[in-house]
Amino acid sequence: METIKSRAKFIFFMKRYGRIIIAGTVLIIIMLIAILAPLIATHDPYKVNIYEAKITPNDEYIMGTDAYGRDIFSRIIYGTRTSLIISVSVNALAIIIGTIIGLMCGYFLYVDRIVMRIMEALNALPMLLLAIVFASVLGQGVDKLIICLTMVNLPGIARLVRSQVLSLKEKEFIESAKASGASNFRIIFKYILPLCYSPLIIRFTNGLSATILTQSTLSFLGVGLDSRIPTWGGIIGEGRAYMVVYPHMCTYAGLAIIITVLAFSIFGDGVRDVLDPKLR
Amino acid sequence: MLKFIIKRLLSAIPVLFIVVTLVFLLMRVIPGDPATMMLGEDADPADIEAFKEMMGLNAPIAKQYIDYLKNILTGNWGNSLYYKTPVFQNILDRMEPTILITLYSTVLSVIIGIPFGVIAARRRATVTDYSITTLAIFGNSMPSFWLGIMMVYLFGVQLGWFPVQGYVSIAEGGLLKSLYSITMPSISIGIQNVSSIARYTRSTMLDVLNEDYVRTARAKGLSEKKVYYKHSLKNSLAPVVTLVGFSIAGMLGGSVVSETVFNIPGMGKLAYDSLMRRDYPQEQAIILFIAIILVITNIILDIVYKYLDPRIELDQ
Repeated sequence: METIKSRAKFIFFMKRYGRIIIAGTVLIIIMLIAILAPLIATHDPYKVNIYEAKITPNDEYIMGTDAYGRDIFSRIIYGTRTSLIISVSVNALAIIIGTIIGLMCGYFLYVDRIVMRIMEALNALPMLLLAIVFASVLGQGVDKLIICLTMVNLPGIARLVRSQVLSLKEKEFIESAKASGASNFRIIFKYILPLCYSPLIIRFTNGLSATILTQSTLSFLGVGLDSRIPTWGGIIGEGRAYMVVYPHMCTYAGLAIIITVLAFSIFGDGVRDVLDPKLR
Repeated sequence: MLKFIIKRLLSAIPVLFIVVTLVFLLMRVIPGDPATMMLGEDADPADIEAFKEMMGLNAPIAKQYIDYLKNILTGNWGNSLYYKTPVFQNILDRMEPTILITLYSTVLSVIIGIPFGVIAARRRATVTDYSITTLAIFGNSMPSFWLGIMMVYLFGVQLGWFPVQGYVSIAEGGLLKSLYSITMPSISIGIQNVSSIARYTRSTMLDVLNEDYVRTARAKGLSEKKVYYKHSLKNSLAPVVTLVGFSIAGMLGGSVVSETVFNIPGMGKLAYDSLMRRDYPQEQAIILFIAIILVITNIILDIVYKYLDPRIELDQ
């Protein structure tokens, strides 16, 4: 009897948290790869060696070398760093700034009129095109790419927070807070913000995977980062010209993107279902 | 309904005005001087000055802006610095493949995505549902440029089913040949949308299935088929329409990538090339043009939305 009960409990637990645990484990492994990159990489990811160029995968170069003789495996390992650093900082920054803008818009109507019009205009442009233009305005560099991708993510987050605020504002507990003399500042940060947390956490986890894809696309096009910096998109972009003869130059980096994005998406979906079960 | 349409059209004007301003400002702060870019690094400084004077690049920024606004409104969008031909004409020349790929891929994602979403919702929590959901997450995780390259390798180079690159225009080879030449790019940028539309349809469908009127329909003894396709589908499609709008925007932006991968002379490639060449007038025109297309698309979709779900009002 006991075993059946604990088994049912286990199944229930796995149904609720299984995806988070599995995807979370994969993400931890990916993070470890990023942190321990110097230990895992078999070669120097920057070292150009034209005598060893375009080698197909063998014992020494397990994923082959690129057109400049750089080890693709090591570049992918170091590319994990680039992707994670950019994706996490972009989403953290965008969530913080976007939330502030959204709160202001939802609460002060005059701010709302101006900001929402600008956000609407930004929404009338395709995100990727906007990112490419921003990236070329700002020039190359990790910090600049982070600013560029943050700007692109702001309208969506501001909108999300704003709509939350607009619906919460009408609630009675806000009115009673106002009646008891709470300042606007206090109402916003003490009463409204905590109720926005769960949609924001969902947005953050989903944003991580989306940013990895956008950032890879930009590097693929050669926009945003110096081509010497190892990035997954950059590896694919450089390998594309030799694809017909040396498919290994593009394949593995693409798989790295898929595995990472997949892990973030599944993790995000799991978190969403736990925080907001009615969305299932 | 007419009032709704007029209101919606008027609300587009300030949006476009801000887009124009934003694009103008962005283009002025891009590093790199178009005159040097055009005439070469070691051009005679006097020539560069003359070129700047000719293009109006020396005027104060406020004057440039006002002139720019005037020209946009009078339909004089200027000449490309690179091609020396009117920018608007260049866009029209390159428009066909981009629009065709976007339409093709939208149609593909709607006719595949929606049925799969409905099936997943109908067979909720079964193997079918899990396989569709998993496939959809997988599709959402694939970078379209990588998928494009892999498809070129497999179906173009190895199997030889589709052309590896290039575009056959409608005038050259007729509609069918033209669609054939853009099948791979359309699929490669469509996969993500198929996945998001399927997931979204599934979740809105599940929401609708919990509504009282669906229970009433079941209680009346209607067949499951009728309940799903007559009472639930139309109502769950309204939010999906919004998603289609987003995906059209995504595809127009994504054309920069797919047209580079498949070497298609479309608007996306022109946008990318112009940016790299610092061809401001051309770049401004493309961004503005895409913004106009998107604003019009969104107006049409809002009208469709209103038709599907008459309860909604314009959010103010």
